[in-house]
Amino acid sequence: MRLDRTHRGWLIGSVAATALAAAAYQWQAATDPSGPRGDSWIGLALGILAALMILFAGFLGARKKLLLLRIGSVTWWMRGHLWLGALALPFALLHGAFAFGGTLTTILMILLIVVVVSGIVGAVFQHALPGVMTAQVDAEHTYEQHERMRWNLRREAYETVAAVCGPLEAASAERAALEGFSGHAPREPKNPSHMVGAESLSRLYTQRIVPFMRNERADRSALDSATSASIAFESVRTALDPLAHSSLDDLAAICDEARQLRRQGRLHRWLHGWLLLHVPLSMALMVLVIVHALMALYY
Amino acid sequence: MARDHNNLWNRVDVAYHRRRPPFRALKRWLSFAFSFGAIGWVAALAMRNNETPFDSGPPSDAHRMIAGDCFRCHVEPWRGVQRLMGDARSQTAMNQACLTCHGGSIAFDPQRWVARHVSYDPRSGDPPYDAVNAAPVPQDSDVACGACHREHEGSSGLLEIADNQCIRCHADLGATHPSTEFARQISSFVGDHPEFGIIEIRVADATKLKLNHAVHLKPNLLGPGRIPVQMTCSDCHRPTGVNADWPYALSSPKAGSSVATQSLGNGATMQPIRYALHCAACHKLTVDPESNILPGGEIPHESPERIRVYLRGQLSAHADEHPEVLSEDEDSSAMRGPTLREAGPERERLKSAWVNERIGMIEQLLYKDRRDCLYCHEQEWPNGAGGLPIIVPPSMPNRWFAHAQFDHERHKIVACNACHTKATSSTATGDVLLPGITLCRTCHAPASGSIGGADHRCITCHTYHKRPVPGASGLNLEALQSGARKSGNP
Repeated sequence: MRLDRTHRGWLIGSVAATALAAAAYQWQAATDPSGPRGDSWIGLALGILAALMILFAGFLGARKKLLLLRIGSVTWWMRGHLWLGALALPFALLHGAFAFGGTLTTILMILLIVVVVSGIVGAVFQHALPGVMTAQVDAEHTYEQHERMRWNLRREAYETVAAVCGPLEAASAERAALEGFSGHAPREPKNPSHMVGAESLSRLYTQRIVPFMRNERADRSALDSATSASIAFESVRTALDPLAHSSLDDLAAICDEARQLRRQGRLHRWLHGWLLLHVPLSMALMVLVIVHALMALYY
Repeated sequence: MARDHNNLWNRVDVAYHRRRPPFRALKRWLSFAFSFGAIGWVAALAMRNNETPFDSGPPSDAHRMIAGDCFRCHVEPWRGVQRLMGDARSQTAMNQACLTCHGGSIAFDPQRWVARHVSYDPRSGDPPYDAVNAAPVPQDSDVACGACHREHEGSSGLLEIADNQCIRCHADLGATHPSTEFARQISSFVGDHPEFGIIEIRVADATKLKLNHAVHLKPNLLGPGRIPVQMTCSDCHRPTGVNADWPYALSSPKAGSSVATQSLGNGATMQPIRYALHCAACHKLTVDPESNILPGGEIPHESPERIRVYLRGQLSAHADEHPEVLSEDEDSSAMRGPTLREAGPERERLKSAWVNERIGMIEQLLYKDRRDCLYCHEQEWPNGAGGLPIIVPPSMPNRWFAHAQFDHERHKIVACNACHTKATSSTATGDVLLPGITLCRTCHAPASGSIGGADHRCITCHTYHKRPVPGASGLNLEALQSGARKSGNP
């Protein structure tokens, strides 16, 4: 979700609520002989509000599942999730008078801090990364298709090189892998043309393209950068028969597509990876918040 | 061979949406794991009856032994709900648990289970801790013990009473107690705490004893055996609990034999001044030390009546042992010779006359001629000059700060004259040698440069709780074990 002007109301409301809570806390600190503490009336109110905010934020997941439940739009719930979830942290800190207390409350505070911080980081990612992805990844694909697409690109690369150089003994492992993945061998010309410079193309393929597309130390590969990839392909082009230049261009395009898949995959993991921390910890947080509330009422 | 984009459709898996993406599957699995992990943790604790992790904080050291038994203090379940429902009883619901154990050392209202505030006579301050029938100075409102004694805050919370608790009333005492004779506005020790009463109203030391501190502390004072000595404060003034020989005692008894005053713990008060321990070595009471009638010629430091009894006993014994002394009287010249050695009414008459005459001579010397007692004491003649005088009791106060407590032991790092600045120059008993509040604030104030930094909270000197009536049963093993009290207090 982008953090745009539509969030202004939530922002103002959150700042005002925090200021109000801080003022109440300060008033209590100044007037209550016992000082600010969680079991005072103000402390209780802050704690109840923090718990409600956490539970509200947690219900976003349920709201997404229950699309027929028309209690506010999902967008509204998302904004509420963002702002009330973040607001829960200062309210909880004020509730506990900036002390973590016992084991359960300490776990709760740590969980809340991690959840809120990861949520803020995630919100920033979700605000910024889609733009970066649009700018840097022309050939964007569904992330779940990436694996299959990489295999297809590998097959295309092999077949393109084989069309110029003939069956590649040096890439027999790659050939076997491709056959193993799809169940049929990649196409190879029966009478290869043996063009001039085919060896240099073959070398480029076996030494750089195959490891790159297999993700073997791809970060260090010259093909991971458009500029150095271009240099690598141009160095082969000078030695290659002009009739094979179109194949070289195809190979460059395949590598470019693979590079973009890698970049998109990297951005995708940043964009969604934080959820692996945020969501499970949120679930534990909600369970323990309920336990904490029950214990506080009981004792 | 150019890339065939017509086959692009073949590059994607059109049925991918039927499979759960690994990322989402992992997220879901982790969510279940963490949720059920949290539930499992709580369930495991409940099954083991281990409620400690649910504490709002670590227990105090004093209560660590019952830390796992929540219901020892949290006697009523769902107290939080009671509070939310506005049940006023929830405020003091735990007081009963506190007073079950601590009711033996503090006074409380057994009907409301509320601790009583210490009450002083604001003028005399005496007795300092409890006037049994004294008016309840502050109304004992329904204050929860936990309002001041904050449990579950580790080792410090239970006894670290914030000034706010006291200031709640004392910042404007006149508002809640219009007839109070105490200071009406006190909000901090370093701010508006008034001068100590004894300094403020310039009370003179009313001790009926003549003591010149300046003389006693001057160099080359003639000590025992007329040997020059330099006395120090600790030769006579030591906190309770300090065990060391007194240098000017009658026969250097151990200090452990000294009488403790009000038992407030070691160092809380100074040991009382006693003639035998502090004065006798120099100020001996003697008459005719050359004669062998009295051992060493010494007179006991007792009341005139007791001295007379002592003299009568010693002189009678001497006359029995040395009957010839009776012949020294002119009236007994007729009985010289063997007659004096024979017991009989006549000899008893002579002995009695001799003893009475000697007693009269000694008492004349002590009380009228040489006036030995008057050197330090005041004496009165309620029965006329013919009777025995009365030595006015010194009535030396054991505590000067009646409303506060001062621990000399804790201040031993400071030289005596750093606080008692007038001690070396004081010549009159009436001089009160206590320091004023300004001197205390030198250290007991917020740190500023090289000064200040010592504790300056109310509880440093004052206490809230009233002590229980002596003999009131506040604590017994049965009550502790059953968690119920059998007898009220006070």
